[in-house]
Amino acid sequence: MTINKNADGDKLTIALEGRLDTTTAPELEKDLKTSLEPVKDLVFDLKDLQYISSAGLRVLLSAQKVMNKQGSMVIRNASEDIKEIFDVTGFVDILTIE
Amino acid sequence: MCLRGLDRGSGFDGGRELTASFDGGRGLTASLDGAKEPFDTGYISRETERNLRGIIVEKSKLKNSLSRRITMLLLILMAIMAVIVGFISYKSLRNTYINLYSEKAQDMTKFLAGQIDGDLLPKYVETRQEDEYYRYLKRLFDHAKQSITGIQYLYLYYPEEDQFIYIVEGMKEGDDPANIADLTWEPYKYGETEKKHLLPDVHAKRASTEVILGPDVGYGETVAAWAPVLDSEGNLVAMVEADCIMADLNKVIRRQASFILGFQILFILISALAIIYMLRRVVVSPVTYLTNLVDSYEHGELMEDLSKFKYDDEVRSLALSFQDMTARIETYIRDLTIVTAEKERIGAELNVATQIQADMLPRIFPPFPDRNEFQLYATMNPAKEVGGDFYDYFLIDEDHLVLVMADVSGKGVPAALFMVIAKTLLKNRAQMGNFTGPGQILMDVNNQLCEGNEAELFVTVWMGILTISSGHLVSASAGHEYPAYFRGESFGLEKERHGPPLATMEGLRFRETETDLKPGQSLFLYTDGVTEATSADVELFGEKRLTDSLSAHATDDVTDLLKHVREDIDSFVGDAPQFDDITMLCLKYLGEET
Repeated sequence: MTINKNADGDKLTIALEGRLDTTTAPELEKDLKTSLEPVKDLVFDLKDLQYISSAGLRVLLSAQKVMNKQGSMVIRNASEDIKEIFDVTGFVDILTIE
Repeated sequence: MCLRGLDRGSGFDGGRELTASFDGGRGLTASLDGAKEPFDTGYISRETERNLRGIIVEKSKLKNSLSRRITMLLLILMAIMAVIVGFISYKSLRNTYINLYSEKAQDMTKFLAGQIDGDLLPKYVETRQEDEYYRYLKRLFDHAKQSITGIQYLYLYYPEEDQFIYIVEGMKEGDDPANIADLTWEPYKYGETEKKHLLPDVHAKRASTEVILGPDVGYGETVAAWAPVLDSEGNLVAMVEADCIMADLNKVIRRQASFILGFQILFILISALAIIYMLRRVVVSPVTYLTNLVDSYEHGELMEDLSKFKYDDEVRSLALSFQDMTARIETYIRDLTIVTAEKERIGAELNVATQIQADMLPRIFPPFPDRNEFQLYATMNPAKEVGGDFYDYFLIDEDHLVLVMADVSGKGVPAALFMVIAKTLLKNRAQMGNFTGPGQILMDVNNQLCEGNEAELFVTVWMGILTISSGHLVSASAGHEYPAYFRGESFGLEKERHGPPLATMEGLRFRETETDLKPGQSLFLYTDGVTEATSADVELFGEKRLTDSLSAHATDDVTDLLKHVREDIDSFVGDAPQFDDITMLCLKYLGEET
């Protein structure tokens, strides 16, 4: 998995590529721990994300909880497969998916 | 060559002799007479020394041992030095002798030329007759040659343009009279040497000394000096010449040079022996001793006290470094032992944890032997030692069976602990006296799980409550996979209303789905480990393959059905590692009649 970050003031766009699963989720989690501090507007671009597991969902959930306190978070460009996973797992009710 | 009786001086132990011998091509060897051991550095005790002997002998046989290499280098350097010094001394001696003889010969010729009355000489060349004065000259020359050593020829002659005419020659004891020139001798024709060296001086009427090399002279290298004899009017009437043949002199010079060289070689050998001895005592022996200490450390002993390295030098510094290193190694080994023991303990505890977790899941089948209305079977295969998947089933009263299938996010011990909490809360809440639907149960348990969930784990749960008598099933899903139903022909996923997983956020509500199971119909619950089992080609098992596999074995006994699905998953995955827990549960509703 590759993580591409693009910061613009207090807006941060994170583009994920590949698989976000048990093996790669800790990498994203560690990354977010340091980079979310000044962010008010967080965007996840999932255009190139092929798969997300429950471990990946957990990282997104953690980010959502942080952003609930300091700003907003949206998920963009999720593929049908990924949307299906959000749907099945009920994450559609928690995350803002555009 | 053999040296004996060399005093070893204050730097040595004294009382014993140092014997050295140089034996041809094999190199220099040295040993201490009177010492029982070949090795006494003062560094170590006799006992240790004896123990070391074997090793020392072995080490001294090293092909490129330090002492042998340094010895050879030293000898080569000293030999080169000896040759250079020998050559220089020979040259310098030769120059000294040549200068000495040149001065001697010149002084002699100048003195004799001054003693001769030039006006009386021309008549001897013309008449060739001896007289009183001629005899005086003869005596003068004889006396002169007799008194000055090293002069082979001393004579007086009249020089012409291409030859000279002998007048008189000195003779000393031992000379052959036949070789001594007198007035009767034929004139001597000039060779190239005379033309080059003598004639210019004849024309200039001056005294000179020449060192003449060349075959012309007839007797090799020669120091020749001549001085002019003038008459009262200043005309050149004769030349006095003294010749010293260097051949004899060279013998003397060579003898002296050889003596110097021999003395040097002696000095070199003594120095070399002393250096080799000091080298062994100060470097090689301590290093060998240290090597032995380090070797013995391999057998698990700490290096002993290093007080034997009494000089504060590089070897002692090396020994101290080794000592520090062994201390660090000891500490490291101790730490490693503790860490390893700790790791083993954790491993053992993990095994117990796995056992406890396995024991938490109901595993006795059939679960309710006296209930004929349904068949139930479930399996769980964790990917790691302890997993986050779980299933559960229990009766809350005679007519109501609760089914639970859940998957905690993440893996390992944290997921397993969370699973224990979730499972316990769900069962407790479901078994509380006041009957409520699964939606209410999930809502309550979610709120409990959200309290202090710092690890931010969550759990997807599917919970269904079956009314056994009627086959009515009420279910709620907290983000869990859609269940598969067998309604008579094949298995198919039935989509239902979803809520987010438990422990994500407080205050979530879960809508319920209601359905009816007719006798012969089945319900299949699973976790994402089934649909997301991945093959070596990174392809997912997927819902299609799952329902196909289920349908193919739909009529089997529930136990066989799960075994067959598992076999299908295994053959699909092949050798690829199992990433996620694989958990399945199947309920076949039979109804009241059977």
